[in-house]
Amino acid sequence: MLLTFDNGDQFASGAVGYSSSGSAFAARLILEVEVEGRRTEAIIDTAAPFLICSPELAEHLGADALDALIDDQEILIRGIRIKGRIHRINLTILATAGTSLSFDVTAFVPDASKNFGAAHPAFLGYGGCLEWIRFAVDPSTETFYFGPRSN
Amino acid sequence: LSGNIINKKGDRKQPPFGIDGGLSERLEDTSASNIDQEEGAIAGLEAAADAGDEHAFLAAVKSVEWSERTAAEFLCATRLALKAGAHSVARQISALGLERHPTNPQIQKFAYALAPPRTIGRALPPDPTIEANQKWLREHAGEYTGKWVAVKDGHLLGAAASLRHLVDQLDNIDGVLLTAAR
Repeated sequence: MLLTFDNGDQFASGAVGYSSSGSAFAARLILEVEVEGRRTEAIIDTAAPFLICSPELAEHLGADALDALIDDQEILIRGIRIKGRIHRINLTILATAGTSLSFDVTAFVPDASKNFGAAHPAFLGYGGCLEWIRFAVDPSTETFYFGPRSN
Repeated sequence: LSGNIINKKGDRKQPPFGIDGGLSERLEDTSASNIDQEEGAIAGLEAAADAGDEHAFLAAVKSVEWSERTAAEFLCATRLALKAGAHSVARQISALGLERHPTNPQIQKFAYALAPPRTIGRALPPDPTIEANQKWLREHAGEYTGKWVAVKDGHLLGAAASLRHLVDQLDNIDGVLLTAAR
């Protein structure tokens, strides 16, 4: 069942189970998503900005340096300066209830040499990405609720 | 500070989510400063970005008279905002730059890159295979730690040391989950 406001309006248009990894101290929530129509997993990371694509995933998607909208750019993530490039990429949060949500987002691809996030395909950051949708988490059922932000 | 953006095709469009106006008001309210103060303000952006000090960067942003700035300065300020970790300010500066220099191709690219997300009318129905994939990963991913795996409908299709090698093994990757096993 999807979440609703008191007046009956929908809060969420879709919901999906997430998987978690890591210890309770450093638990990570992981969603199955589509990036440019390709299925992969993304870790929810509200301390990061944008959609962060690993260099391997970006290569697979054909988002190479020549297509970058902003190249040779340093950004600050968790107090660490990472160099990379910025693209505009289509992201779909898939649903097991309701419907999926697709939007194009700012995507940052770290330089391969930095080895940033190499062990993970992608991260869903808050600024410039999740901040533009509604979302809620139910840890008891490991469900991620989502929907378009209204305004 | 307008919310108008220009997409890759050059169409001007209104972002569906709008752009928050807080900084806009502060920018528009900035009182006139003399030239020395202005040059100092731009230098302040650079110093704050180098220090990774988002708060100092915001203070420096407020002291700049943006209506007098060139396209190159908007581009520079956008890059500095990203470097400072002031990601939403970077978006607002690039949007303001587009308003001031609407025909500049670099400004158009920066504003498009950092514009608020645009929803796409592509609402897929519920997909029950996601739960099957999660179940497979929960039970078997540990056997493939450090490798990329391809999983579809709860079945392993392949594993490889790199995503490129994994994709080379597969005839069709439509609907196939490609992820790094943990």
